[in-house]
Amino acid sequence: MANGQNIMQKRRTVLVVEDNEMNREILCELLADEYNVLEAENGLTGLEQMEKHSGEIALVMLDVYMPECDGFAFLERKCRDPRFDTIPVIMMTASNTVEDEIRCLELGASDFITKPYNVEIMKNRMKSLIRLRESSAMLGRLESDSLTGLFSKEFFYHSLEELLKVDADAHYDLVCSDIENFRVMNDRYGTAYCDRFLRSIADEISGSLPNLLFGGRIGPDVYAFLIGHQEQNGWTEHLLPDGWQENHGKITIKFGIYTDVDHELTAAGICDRATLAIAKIKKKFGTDVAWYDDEMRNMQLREHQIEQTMERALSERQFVVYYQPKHDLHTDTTGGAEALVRWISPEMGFISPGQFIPLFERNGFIINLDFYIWEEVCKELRHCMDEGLPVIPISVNVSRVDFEVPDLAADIAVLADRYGIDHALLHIELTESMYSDNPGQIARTLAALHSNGFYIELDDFGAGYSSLTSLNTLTLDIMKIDMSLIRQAAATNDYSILRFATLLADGMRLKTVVEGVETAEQVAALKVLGCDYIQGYYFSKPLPPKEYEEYLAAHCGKESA
Amino acid sequence: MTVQELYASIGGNYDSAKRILQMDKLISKFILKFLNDASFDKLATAWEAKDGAGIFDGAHALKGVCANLGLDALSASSSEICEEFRPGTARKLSDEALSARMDKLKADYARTIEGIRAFEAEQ
Repeated sequence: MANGQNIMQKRRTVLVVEDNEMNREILCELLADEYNVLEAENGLTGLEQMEKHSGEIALVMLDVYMPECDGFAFLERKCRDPRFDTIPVIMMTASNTVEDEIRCLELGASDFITKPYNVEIMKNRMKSLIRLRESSAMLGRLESDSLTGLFSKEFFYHSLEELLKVDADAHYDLVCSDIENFRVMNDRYGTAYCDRFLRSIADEISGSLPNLLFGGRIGPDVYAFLIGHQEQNGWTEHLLPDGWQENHGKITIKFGIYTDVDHELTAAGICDRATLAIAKIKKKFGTDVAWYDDEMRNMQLREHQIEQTMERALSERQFVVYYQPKHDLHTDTTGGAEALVRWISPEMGFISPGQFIPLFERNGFIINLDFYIWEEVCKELRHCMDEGLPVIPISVNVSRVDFEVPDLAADIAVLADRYGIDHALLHIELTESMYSDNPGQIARTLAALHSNGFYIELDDFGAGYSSLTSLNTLTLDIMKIDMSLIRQAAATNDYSILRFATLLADGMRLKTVVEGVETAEQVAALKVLGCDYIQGYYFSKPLPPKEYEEYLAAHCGKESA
Repeated sequence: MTVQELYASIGGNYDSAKRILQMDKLISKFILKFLNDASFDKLATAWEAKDGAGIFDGAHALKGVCANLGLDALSASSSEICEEFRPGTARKLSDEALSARMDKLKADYARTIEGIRAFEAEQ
């Protein structure tokens, strides 16, 4: 057969099992124009042919009465072998007795034709049985994940929803498993090893879960299992066999459990709850099982509420930009400010940025919010210029998500120009950890911003992931030293790390801002170290626009108290 | 002699054969093969030996072959004998009645074979 031939036109193979040579020959002759035909003169040779060609045979035409091994015996043996079980069988009989028909159907025959053959009916029945089997096989492939034998994600979701619909009073628990660092494992050990690993893990977990109903592979390395509700938690101690962890070194499997699932939720919602529990213990050494609890539920509800209201909140200007002054240690005046967003919702009250910013970064709304903030800052600068107030640079934060906007640098330039703002008055703050996401894109955008006259500030230096590579690669003007370093230095009266950081910045010709400064002693020490700016409650908390303007009028160009 | 004429001479159902085998060429091919089909001999041997199971097998096979060849009369008479000896069912006909049917079947078969031989001689 030619390669690429349409699958619908593919010639199927049928097996004709008939002891009478004449009848067999007639049948083969009738089928030869559409099928590859294999012949067998009794049930035994028929089974031998099945053994030899099991993958090829699309259908069996089977006589009932034959010597050696008749049609009934053939059917009995065929249905016991999973390789042959799904191959459809059409019985051919000259005597259409009801008893024979019933017996053959009980043994798994799909249909009957009686001799003499009605060729058209026969061929149509053959075609529809072959089509039926092939489409169920395709459905079967969709139902199960070929690697693990668990249900596919779609079929798992479907089965879960159907079950919850049918049995409204039953109580179930959902268990999700997730392999930590699976991507690293894939890179290190290769796909074949990881496939075997995935299969064995699916088997191990399936074997250990109590009252397992069914399981599905809902992500590359994430499985979900539905079990009957368990009152006690002891069963979770044996999700993996004893000694498993010792044998698998650094590979850790985390489990999230959502107990007594809500029948009203979608399957995806149910699985989300279990995976949310996993998220709570990700990278947490020694804790491998977590339950979805009320705290998570409340957080989810809160996030849902935030998502429902965020767009209206933006259009109603519920987000207010506050400004925290930066004190210039050389001139002892206010030398700049950082724009910080506050959200006071009429329905939910004060919402911490720590709560809504990570959510907006996940759902992408941060792009809308950040543009809003940048515009508010431009308006504030314009207002100060128009009112004859001191005009000092204001830094704004950018999220890693903002860098996905294709022409971010050009968009910010257009915005600043619309309000007639000198680009040097707008500082862009980014965190160092962002650099690891998409270094090439971030470096290019920063270079474009810099060449447009904007200043770039590296936020949170010294908190977490400090890398000298990013200092070297990114176009920077200012290094903001994280407040954790100043707290640590004050607590131990050891300023050596801060000294190193300021020396490093100085060597790279970067100005330094130290955040989180709260006491006169810290100010004095930082002055000795040669820091350029200080930001913190010692000088001022973040201020709403009106108070900020009053602060500017009082402190700019004047010596501070 | 055409195939159609052969069927007329042996009391066969040409239309039925044509419906199944579709072409005269195939009817001709298989009707000639009927000369070598062993079903009747099996039936006859079992009949002589009074072997009920053998009679059923032979009659059953003959019935099927004849049905596919449009040899309706032979198919009907072998069917009668076949049903009489179907495993698990009680006999309905008396020995005399059964013998009469077997004699008729033998005569029909002989006439059919004779006709086919004549047809074969002309090919």
